[in-house]
Amino acid sequence: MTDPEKEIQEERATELFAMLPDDGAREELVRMFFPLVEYLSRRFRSRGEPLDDLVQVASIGLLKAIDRFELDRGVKFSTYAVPTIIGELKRHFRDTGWAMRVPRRLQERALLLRSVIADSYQELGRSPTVAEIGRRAGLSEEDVLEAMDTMHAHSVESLDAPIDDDDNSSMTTLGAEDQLIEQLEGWADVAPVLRTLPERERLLLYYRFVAGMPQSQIAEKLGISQMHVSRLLARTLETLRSAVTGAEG
Amino acid sequence: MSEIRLSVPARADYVHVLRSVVASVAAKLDFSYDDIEDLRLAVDEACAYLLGLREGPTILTLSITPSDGSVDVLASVDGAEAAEQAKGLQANMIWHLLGALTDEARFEEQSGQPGIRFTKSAASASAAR
Repeated sequence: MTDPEKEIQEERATELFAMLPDDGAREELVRMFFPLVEYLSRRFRSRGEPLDDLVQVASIGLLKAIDRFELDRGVKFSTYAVPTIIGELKRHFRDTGWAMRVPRRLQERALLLRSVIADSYQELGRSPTVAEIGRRAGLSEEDVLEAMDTMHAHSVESLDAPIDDDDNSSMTTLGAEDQLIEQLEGWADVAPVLRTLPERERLLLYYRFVAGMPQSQIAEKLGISQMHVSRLLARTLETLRSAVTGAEG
Repeated sequence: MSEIRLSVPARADYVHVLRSVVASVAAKLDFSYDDIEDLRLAVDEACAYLLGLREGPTILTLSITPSDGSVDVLASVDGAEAAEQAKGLQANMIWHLLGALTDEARFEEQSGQPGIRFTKSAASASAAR
């Protein structure tokens, strides 16, 4: 590097590192290398965390790097600091389970799609295609599919939230129907498992697999989003599966 | 006939990859949202069932054959025959579920590998045309 300003900065950094663990020197080093923190944080921004949070995490990485850096190794501090800061950011995402959390952009998209799907269903009188959903939402098919994946992998809305407070009457009157499941061929065997399911889940199974209602219709009937129906169904089947496997194994 | 063939490690946490690919193929065929969701569940069920069939499976393979307005999916798994095959309860369940989620589903064994083949057509989309 021939950049004179950089050279001056590097010289100053070397001086400061020699002064450690002096607090003043440390602070000046943090200020000096803060642009690195900002730069690296921005690189992780696409994962949906607020930039401020990332900067905070990256700053911790910078502090660690400053404290661990050894002048006599002959490497530039920035060379040493970059992997340390990135490591800290990555650890943050891993520890906070970012994979399980919905990046904000996708969450907003999923919420948008939820209403678009419901509206399209109302208007068309049938379940819309992905292309139709995309046109209406102003998104590409690719984006719609991505959002669909997202809502399967993450919880946009709580699955355990009560479905609809006003609709309890229909729930109870239909309570008898879901008991029919147990008497049907193919389901009779899993009756003991079915009995352990919450009523809502039993009802979902009944609607979808006995009454043969499509998800969109179930969503309308229960007054919840189709995404919610879809996730609940997937989860219920999983519960059923593991219970059955457990019972057999 | 164009076939999409995809292999993933035979573990439950890779099934979502297969699910997404099937969904995206179905979307291109103008399947409705309802039908795509059904397909996803069907992939889930078929794969979970197959994974339980074999001892130490390593590869889970999905062959997707799209045609005009319908999609054919064959999921298969390798591995040694499990001592205690998943049948009875679970077998009853799987066919019932797949029957509701797809147009047709059946067990299929190819060169010693168990598989489940199912077909679904874009009912609502074709009705709308």
